[in-house]
Amino acid sequence: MGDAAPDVVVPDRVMGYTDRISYRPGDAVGLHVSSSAARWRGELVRLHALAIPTADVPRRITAVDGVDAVEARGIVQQTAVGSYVRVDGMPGVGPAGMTIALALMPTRVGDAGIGPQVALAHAQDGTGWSIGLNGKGQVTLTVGTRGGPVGLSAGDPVLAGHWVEVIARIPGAPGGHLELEVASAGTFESNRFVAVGSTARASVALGSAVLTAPGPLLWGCRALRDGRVPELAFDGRVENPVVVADASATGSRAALSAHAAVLAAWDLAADIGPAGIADTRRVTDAGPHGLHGTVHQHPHRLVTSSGWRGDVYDARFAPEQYAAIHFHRDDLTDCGWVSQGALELPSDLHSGVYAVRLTDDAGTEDLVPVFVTPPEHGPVEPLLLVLPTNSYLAYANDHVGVDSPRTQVWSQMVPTLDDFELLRNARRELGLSLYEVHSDGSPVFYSSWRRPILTLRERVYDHNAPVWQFTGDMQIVEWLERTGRPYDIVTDREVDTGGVDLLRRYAAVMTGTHPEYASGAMLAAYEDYVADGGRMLYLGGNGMYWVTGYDPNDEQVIEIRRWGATQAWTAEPGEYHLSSTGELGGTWRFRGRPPQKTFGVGFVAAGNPGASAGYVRSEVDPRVDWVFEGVRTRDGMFGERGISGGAAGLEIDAVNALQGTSPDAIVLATSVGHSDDMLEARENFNMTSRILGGARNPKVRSDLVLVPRVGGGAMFSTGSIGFAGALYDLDGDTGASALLGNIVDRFVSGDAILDIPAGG
Amino acid sequence: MIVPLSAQDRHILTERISRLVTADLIARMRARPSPPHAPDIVEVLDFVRRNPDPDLPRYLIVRLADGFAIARRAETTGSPPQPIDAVRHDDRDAAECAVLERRLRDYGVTW
Repeated sequence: MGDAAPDVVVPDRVMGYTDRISYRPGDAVGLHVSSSAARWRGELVRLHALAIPTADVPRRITAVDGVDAVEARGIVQQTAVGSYVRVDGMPGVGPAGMTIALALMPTRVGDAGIGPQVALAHAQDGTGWSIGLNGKGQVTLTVGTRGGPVGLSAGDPVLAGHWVEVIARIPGAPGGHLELEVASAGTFESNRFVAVGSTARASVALGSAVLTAPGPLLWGCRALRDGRVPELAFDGRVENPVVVADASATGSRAALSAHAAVLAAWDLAADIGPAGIADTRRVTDAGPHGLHGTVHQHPHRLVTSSGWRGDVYDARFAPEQYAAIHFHRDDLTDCGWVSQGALELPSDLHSGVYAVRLTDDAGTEDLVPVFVTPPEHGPVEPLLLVLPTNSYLAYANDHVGVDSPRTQVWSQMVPTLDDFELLRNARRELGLSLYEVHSDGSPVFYSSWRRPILTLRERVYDHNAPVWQFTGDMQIVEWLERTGRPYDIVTDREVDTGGVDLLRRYAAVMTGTHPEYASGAMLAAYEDYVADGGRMLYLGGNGMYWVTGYDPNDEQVIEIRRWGATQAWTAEPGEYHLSSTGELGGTWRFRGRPPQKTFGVGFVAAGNPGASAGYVRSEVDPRVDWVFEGVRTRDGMFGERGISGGAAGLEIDAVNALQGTSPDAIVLATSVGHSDDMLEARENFNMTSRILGGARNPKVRSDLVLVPRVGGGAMFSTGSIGFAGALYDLDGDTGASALLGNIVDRFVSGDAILDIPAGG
Repeated sequence: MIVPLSAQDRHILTERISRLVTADLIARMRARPSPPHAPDIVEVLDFVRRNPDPDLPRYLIVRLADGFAIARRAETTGSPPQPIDAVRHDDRDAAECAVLERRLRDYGVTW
């Protein structure tokens, strides 16, 4: 074998997404498909089980009769990445000239790989004007004249994370001076570095008039290729631009906003209301002409502006300190692929996990999940499985395994890429997960369903983790079907909108394996359900953790802000509130809703599969002997083996009275024997600690709890992501399966949760 | 050659890692490449995996049609990793061991 190292070829394949998170029978499933083949085909299939090669679990899917397949010619769809604001109807430079003022905080400066950036522009094909940065990071003003382009730069390169005030003056006639003024701005708190007060000016006489640009005024880029792809995109913040039709206008931006010749005075603070940003799709022009802007691809809103003083953390109390918008060249909440057809779901289609099986002439395949809920009215099955689609969105298309060295330290594995993971690594234009940062280092707040989510595919993580999220939840689906227990499914979205009324249609409700991202409405629905006789099974770990909001203007998009917990990044100071709802982000623990209150357990530790463990029964309480009927043990343990290691694994939860575990909670079993790779969550120890790992730390454990509630309600919690992996018969050890079966059957039966002991 | 490291990582490398890496440690890693590992192996793995010198290659394993290859992570995010040579390992575990040995050599550690 020689030393030549042939290039790795990233395979191409058909891929697609649907237009919504979930559907009802009778709905049309809009398909957005990209394929380089001549034709593609989409057909509806039902998913009963996904293959897990490491555990020899076979794929089981069935065709769905009565649904016409969709066929269409292949299109290699183009994804438009990068956020911007578009303002139509902007006048050009008139006889009196124009003054433009705004504050800028660039966040990616002097990167030779990206070149010039444009923050504000009314320019097209050599006409109009634009304000931005040159490749060195100096603020620039460029105009298009009959004599060609004319540009100015002023001052030293700006610092990333530092505010500057920019005033540009464009003469209305030849001979006038084009002027640019750049002044250091911002408060001690709003700037990343201590501000250096300085002002730089530059000017040049124009030999010919500025040509009027025919297109829209844009924030965050200079132009839109094909009407939607930002060019010369800007990374950073823009604060309240003002445009005045008079080059002699002077004064602050506030003074310019009141000028008689003002054309537009956008006020980002005016968009902030009691529920956060009133409409994330819009920026408001407070000027007389109503030149409101439309916002695309969700740039950050409710972020601090140049005047933030550090004494207010909630924008609703000081909107003027949050009058900024933060653009990223890699923002993406809508791929914008053309839809070539839709699958019509039968009106009698049973609720369940389906998929559009896409195939193309090149022989490639994609399985795009389709979650079908029950009809709004009518009979339902006794059991409801809630698929944690917010978590699917949070992890959507994550690349942390490849990008972050710490992942392999944690997982104790070097990332391994097969053909599917090579494809996932290569398709970065499909957007980021909520575990990543943008290219300027700022956190990712928003995630959207309107893109191919390759982490929802059967083959994801094959070599780097056994199962996770959707593939993990399919273990529950496989178990329900294999054991013959009828069920319906809904997603987080239906619980958020349908509330307790939806849950009350069912005798019992169960969650997925990692329902980490809950909205306030979801938590209220779960609590109201079990408080009023409902019976619920929380089959996950690290659940109900992050405060999650839906964008009211775009329900396919969720938002989070991370702080104060075990987290992939930390939001900037003062930016802990969600723009889409206004509420405080972070974890529910710090909002008075720790998961222990409703679910009995809360997050304590995370580790790789090798750090997992089995359970031992923790107390003998004859009232719950029924839970353990048929549960075979080995040396007193059950669930020691599973697809993800032991049943107590990956991320685990435990009871904690100080966090709200009810005195009525019965700890049925507890995990024993974790290794030091199962590490305690940082928010659970206040000081530093040298006893983090499970081998020596008794707080690192998963508790199986049963919490009886008044009125016959109950909560059963596994407190472990790995529990679902122990439901499959790997080696004849079905202890976890038997136990879960006992719980489900008792819960849906309506029988009392606690037995009355003989003689009791 | 000792590559450029922070003062702290240079100390850790010379005073701890280099002393831990022996032919016996490598043999034990080859015999059992998957966790859980003995504490000395964990310490060595943690050091090289956290990439203390960001200028050194960050390795990945790529599963190709003819076996598992060690590859270098591309500098441009999303670009394909580049196999470092034509060597193919029969399984993932063998590649994992080979990555460790290559990383140690990158840091000038011998055994």
